[in-house]
Amino acid sequence: MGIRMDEALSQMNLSLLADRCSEEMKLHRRKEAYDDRYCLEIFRRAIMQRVDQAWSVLQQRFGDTVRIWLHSHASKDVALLRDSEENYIAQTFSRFWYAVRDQHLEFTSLNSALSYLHATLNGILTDTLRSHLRSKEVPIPEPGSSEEPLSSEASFDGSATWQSIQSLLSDQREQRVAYLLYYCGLKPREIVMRCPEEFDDIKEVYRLNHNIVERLRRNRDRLRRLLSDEEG
Amino acid sequence: MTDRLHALAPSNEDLISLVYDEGLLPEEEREHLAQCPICQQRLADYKDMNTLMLSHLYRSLCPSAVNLNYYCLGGLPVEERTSIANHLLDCRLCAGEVVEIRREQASYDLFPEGGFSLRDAVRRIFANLVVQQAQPVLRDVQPSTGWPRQYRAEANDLSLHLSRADNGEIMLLGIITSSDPAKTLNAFEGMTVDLYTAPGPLVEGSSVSSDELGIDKVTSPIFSTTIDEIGNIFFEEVPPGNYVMILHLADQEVIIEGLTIDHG
Repeated sequence: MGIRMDEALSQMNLSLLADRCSEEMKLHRRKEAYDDRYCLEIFRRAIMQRVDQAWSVLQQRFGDTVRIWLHSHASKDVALLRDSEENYIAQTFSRFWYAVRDQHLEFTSLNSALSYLHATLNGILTDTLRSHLRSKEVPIPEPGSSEEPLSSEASFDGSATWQSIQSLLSDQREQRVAYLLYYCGLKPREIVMRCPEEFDDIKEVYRLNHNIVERLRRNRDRLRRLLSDEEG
Repeated sequence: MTDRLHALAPSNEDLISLVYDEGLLPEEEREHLAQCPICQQRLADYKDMNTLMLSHLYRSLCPSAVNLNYYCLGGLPVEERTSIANHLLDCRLCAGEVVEIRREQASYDLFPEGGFSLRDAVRRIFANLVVQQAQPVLRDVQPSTGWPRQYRAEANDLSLHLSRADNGEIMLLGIITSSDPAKTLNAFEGMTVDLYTAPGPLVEGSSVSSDELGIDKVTSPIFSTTIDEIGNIFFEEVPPGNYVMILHLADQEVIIEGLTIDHG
């Protein structure tokens, strides 16, 4: 039976949907009235109905959009030194999929769906930069001089690790400086500048830093186990 | 406490200032450091421990930047949003990232130019109007333009007929079959067929779309239907006019032009 277009959305085949989606996006770019239901239907089938072909179409249709966002990003040069364009795009769709699934999101407009996709890419790039800012891994020296290398791509329960490190540092001011130095990546001068109410003398920060290093050295076996365990 | 074994050996604090590139030793202490392996080792130990701790701990208590982005969009469950909001009160780095994220979210182009079009990946085939085998083929005689009609597009055969309903309205009926022995009877089930007012979205004789030719107008079909389980296509109440039909098959689009329907 012949039916009008607005009744046929859920029955449209994917290639037609993708085609209409492209047309509507072109209208949008030309600042003309557009209908985002075709694109949203692709998202709905891919995410809500978990249709593999729809997911493929979604990636095909919006992969170039993600690629353009990537190349427009202020940090693209650094990011592309650490991973390939294809991997960033693949990661973006993968993280997007899990986020939308876990958060039970239903998009009511193409804008909201693309905003979430863009947020995923932006977050992945920023996480890459965070990782880039970490210093290169150095092994913990064994008593005597032998060394045990550790992975630099560690991903672990930061909260548990912090609690364990706190237990090695009995003094509260040492704990606070350790947090600011190692978790926040602040230099002593930045600590004095940013936390003047807590630390107004850079010499004190240096002294506390020395104490921290000494305590960690004295507990190097425990520290090594702690960091190694957390990586596993 | 100090590990100074020599009067010119730098203090612990001075060595640590060097680790962070914040200090400048007096001339005599610089010369001593350049020659003293013990002081060089002290400096190296500070650097190593600092690097080690940073490499494992830096921002490991921070929410991921992906979640910060979702937070800025108002996503995430309530508990996670609350947790991030509390973290932002303490963490200047994340607070700074949130400022950057909000700036980025306010400025980027959601619909950048240059996106992919599936048109590029779909083959378009113009179906040929074929002479019915039962009819004699005569020199200089064009294939029939009347009804019913038989079209062929590669292995697909399409028959189109007109029928009149009780109320006098015209119905356009079709059936599609395939000569490909690998295709089952229901191979076309659920695929979409569109009927456009001529010239439709395509330019006659071309295998590219109006968009690809730079034609701004985007045409929508006036009727759309799906193929049933045995290949039937059914459009009802089709007004007189000139039409283009497009069948959106799995790996190709079949275009049938020159469909003239009148009441006569």
